[in-house]
Amino acid sequence: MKRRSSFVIALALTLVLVTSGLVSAQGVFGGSVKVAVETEPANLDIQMTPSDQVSYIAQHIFEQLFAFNEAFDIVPMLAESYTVNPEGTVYEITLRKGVPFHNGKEMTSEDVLASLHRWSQVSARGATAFGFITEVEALDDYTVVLRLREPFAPLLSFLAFQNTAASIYPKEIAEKYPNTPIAEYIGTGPYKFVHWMPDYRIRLERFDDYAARDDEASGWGGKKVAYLDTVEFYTVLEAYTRQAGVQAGDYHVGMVINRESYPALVADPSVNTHMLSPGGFDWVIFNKKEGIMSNQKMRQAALAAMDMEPILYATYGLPEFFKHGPSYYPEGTVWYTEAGGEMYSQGNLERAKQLLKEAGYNNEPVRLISTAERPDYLNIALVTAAQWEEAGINVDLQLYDWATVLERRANPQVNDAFVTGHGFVPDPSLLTVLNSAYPGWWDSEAKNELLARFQSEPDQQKRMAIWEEIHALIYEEVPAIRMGDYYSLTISSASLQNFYGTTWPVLWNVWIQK
Amino acid sequence: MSRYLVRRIIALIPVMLVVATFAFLLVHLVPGDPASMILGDMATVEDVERLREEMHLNAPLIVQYITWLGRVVRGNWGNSLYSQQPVLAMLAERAQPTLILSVSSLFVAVLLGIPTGVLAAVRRGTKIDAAILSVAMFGAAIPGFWLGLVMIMYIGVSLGWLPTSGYQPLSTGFFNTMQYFVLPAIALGFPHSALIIRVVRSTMLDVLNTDFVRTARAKGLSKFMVIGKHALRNSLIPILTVIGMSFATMVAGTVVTETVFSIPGMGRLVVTSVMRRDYPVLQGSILIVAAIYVIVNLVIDLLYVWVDPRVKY
Amino acid sequence: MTTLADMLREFRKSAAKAWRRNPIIRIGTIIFVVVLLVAVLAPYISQHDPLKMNPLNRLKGPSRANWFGTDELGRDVFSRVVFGARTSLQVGLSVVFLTILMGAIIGLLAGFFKKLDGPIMRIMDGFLAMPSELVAISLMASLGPSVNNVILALSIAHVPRMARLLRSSVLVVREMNYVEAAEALGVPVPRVLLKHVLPNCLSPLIVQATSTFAFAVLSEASLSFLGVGLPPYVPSWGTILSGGRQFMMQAPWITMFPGMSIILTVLSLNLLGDGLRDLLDPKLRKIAS
Repeated sequence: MKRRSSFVIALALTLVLVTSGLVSAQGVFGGSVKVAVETEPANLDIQMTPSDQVSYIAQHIFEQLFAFNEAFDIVPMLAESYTVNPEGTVYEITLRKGVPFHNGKEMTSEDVLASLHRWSQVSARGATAFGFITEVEALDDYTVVLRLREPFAPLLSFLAFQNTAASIYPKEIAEKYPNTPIAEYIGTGPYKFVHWMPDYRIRLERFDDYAARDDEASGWGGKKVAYLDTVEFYTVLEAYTRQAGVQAGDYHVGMVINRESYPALVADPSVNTHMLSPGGFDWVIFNKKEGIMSNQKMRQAALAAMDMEPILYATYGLPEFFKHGPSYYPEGTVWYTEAGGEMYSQGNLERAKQLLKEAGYNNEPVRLISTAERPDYLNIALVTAAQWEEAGINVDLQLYDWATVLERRANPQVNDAFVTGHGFVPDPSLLTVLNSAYPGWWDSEAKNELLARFQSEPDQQKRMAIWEEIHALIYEEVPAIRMGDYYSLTISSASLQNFYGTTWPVLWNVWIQK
Repeated sequence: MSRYLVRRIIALIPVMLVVATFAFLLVHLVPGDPASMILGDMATVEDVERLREEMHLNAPLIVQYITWLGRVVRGNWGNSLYSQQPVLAMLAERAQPTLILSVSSLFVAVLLGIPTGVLAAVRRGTKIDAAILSVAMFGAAIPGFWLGLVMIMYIGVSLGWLPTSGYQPLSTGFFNTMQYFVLPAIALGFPHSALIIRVVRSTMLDVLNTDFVRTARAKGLSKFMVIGKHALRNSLIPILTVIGMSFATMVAGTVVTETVFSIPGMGRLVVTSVMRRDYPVLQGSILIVAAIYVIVNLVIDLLYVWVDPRVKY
Repeated sequence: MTTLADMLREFRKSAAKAWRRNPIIRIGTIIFVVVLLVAVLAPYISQHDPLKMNPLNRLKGPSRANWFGTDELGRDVFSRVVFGARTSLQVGLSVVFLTILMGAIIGLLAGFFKKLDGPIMRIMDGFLAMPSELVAISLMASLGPSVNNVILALSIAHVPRMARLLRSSVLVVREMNYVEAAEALGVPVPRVLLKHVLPNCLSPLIVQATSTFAFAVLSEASLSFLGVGLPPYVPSWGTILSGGRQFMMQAPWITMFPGMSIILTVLSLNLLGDGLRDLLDPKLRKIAS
């Protein structure tokens, strides 16, 4: 574990997990937990589909070779141990023995090979990692070797991360669905998939033959015990219905609760509130490949026009739930920096107009894409559009259902900017905007050069220096505009024990107090 | 009677044909190419061409129509473009919650509507009549989803008597299922009771004015007997008609109620398939809802004969 | 024989009488006219731009500056409701207009020309077998959200009802002596239709128009609630109501005012319709007296 220190993150994340205090009581087996989720995923292919719902549902079914613990350190999960050569180019991973899939088959290196191969094809993060990985080889049934072109410091973060995850599927399934979403959900996790009634409920059941680790449970790592007989995820579109349902005892967990209700919920003894800190990244991403916003001056003008305070208020409501500031990473994390920050939240209409003139802007429509299905994205779009309009940008605001947004943002011909976001990522190289293949396509030479150095640099101090350069470059080239820090609100029933609110809350090691 | 039935069933064929045509044309209303619309922006040219081939989009419209109709008649309703499940199976899965919701809402509407309608007619011109009519008018004007949300807020959470939302299938026990439907049934049934009240009141007024009712009263029959036995029975036909219409529109009204209360019925399916441009599912839902509608109407017509022997076919 | 002018004269006379005698019509008319005036005078009544956001002043309760409070983006709810009246009434009126236009054409053709009657009415029966809200929702899937598309979808959904109604009145009227006489005299068919048939079908049409209007106002709200109606930044009663529903606990004023506006408008239309039905339907008039 020599290299681990390079991305050990002394995050204030412990905050999240310490707030509730450790429960010493013994777990109780039995019962069913009902989770009210905000929208239904299209499928549960955790390798392929980049959505939070897929992550927090499918993480109970599938596991990766590694996992994050509560401090966002990397610990082995399906891996038993690993070694790295001094150059950081050869990883030898030993797998745990006797880990069964839900279909009874034992997981071996052939499954890992097939899964990693599929991951490299269907996941943007997999594609990034496989830009460095040149060869994956099985020495025997329980040993896998990854050979790298050059060092890739965040490799284990990529292998552990639960969004578009490097999850291990049975070989047969990985090969049966090379580039379409899998339709058979068979993993090694503590809960197995039972039934999906579309637009209603996804039901998981305890996997009795689950091979748990012996090390102490922490975050997404360590020993997992499935106390619950079943875990059910109900699609409840109305935010208010989710909240009311948990308050009335119909659901145990309510995801994405209206932040405005926080004071009332804190006062309600039947529910526990979980303010998810650190939050994630909500931003407006520009299309840098084609169209009017591929002009850097235009993007700088858009940034100059923006005053973040109203946007943050409009989107996140109560001041407890957001923080105004330029840093992509919150204070207290190792990645905190204000480099380039003077460009953040200028609200300078004069400068915006000046930049528009320099860009040769001639009132061409700027197509900003968002959705009314997600109130946060809707409000960001509405206030942003209003501020741009004030600076003299002709905004064509287009609202679609979320599925259509995903389609349209991937087509450089039909959008100039879109609103989206993703959950917290412990290493900046996991940020979507830095990936030149991700919609928006930030493919500038300066960025590519910095990112390559950042990814292969093993020393944390030097990495931080490079990150500061990247951070400043983000405010100069403006591939995207991030609003500020924000926190989401999740609630759980008071009877649910050992439950911690995170972007992807886990329901193993969690039980119902009778 | 049976010949009448056969004739009525044959008459349904053109009606369903129109419905099917509407459902078919929906896809072709989309500006541009339905195949690329369905596949989205990520699709390659080959994908689009393959789907065009599959949907027979390259054939003349009339050929497409006949092919599609042939498949529908043979029970091949296609697969959802979103979840890849067969449409018929999806609809079958959604039928139970929607039917329970419609029937229980109808129950609420009738239970509220008929007695109060009768009362209003009997007490015509009094304050009771005015009060009932005002409440009915008010009920008909409330947006259903608003009523639903307000009820969740005050009855579901504050009082905690009933589940706020969700659904449990009948296999978990009748009473367990029904408790989930109390609030939705009121939200959907109350506005409909307004219509029933008005129809009941006006037909009762008609009947109360007829000679035989006056005669019955003159004979000294009690008021209760007259209303219950003679008047109500003789005004059943218009009331049945309005109940039938209510039931049919309720199947559509479930769309909003199911969204508010997170009930996984056909209404929700319609909305999500609209959102996802999932045309096979939308087409299937339209066909099923229309089929329910015409069958309910047929049953109502048959009931006429049963309740009113004067009606002969 | 009754012509359009006669009919209107007669109508004015009875309307005046109804106004004096029938309190239901009076209340309905007053409310509706007030709503209509609010919509027409929206720019003069509202103190703020309905689209102007001020997030720092969000979710504030009713005050002197914001009579109906502010919404989640700090927009003035009063101005939005007032401008929303414009959108909602625009939708309602346009739907009524289009429904009557299309319904009248179809109904007259079907009622007057026996050969057309069968095919036209079979098509209408087919449409009537689909609940109108379902027709509207499905059409919105193909048309996409906008004011015009909402109007179009709701009109198509409601035309069959209007057409069937007109056809049945035409069937009665065309058997009348004066129509037969006009035909026999060689008066051109369109002229017969417009001058002699249509005026005599007006009363059921007017009653049906009020309920279509009410339906359109309610349906616009439902469609917007379901996310397939108007885009959320367009102020209409439906979009305000549906946008404010997340804040029903903390800011009930956002939903209360548009909700009450819908109720009042629909109520006034239903009252008007009921009053007119009593007035125009001789059979009912007898019962009521």
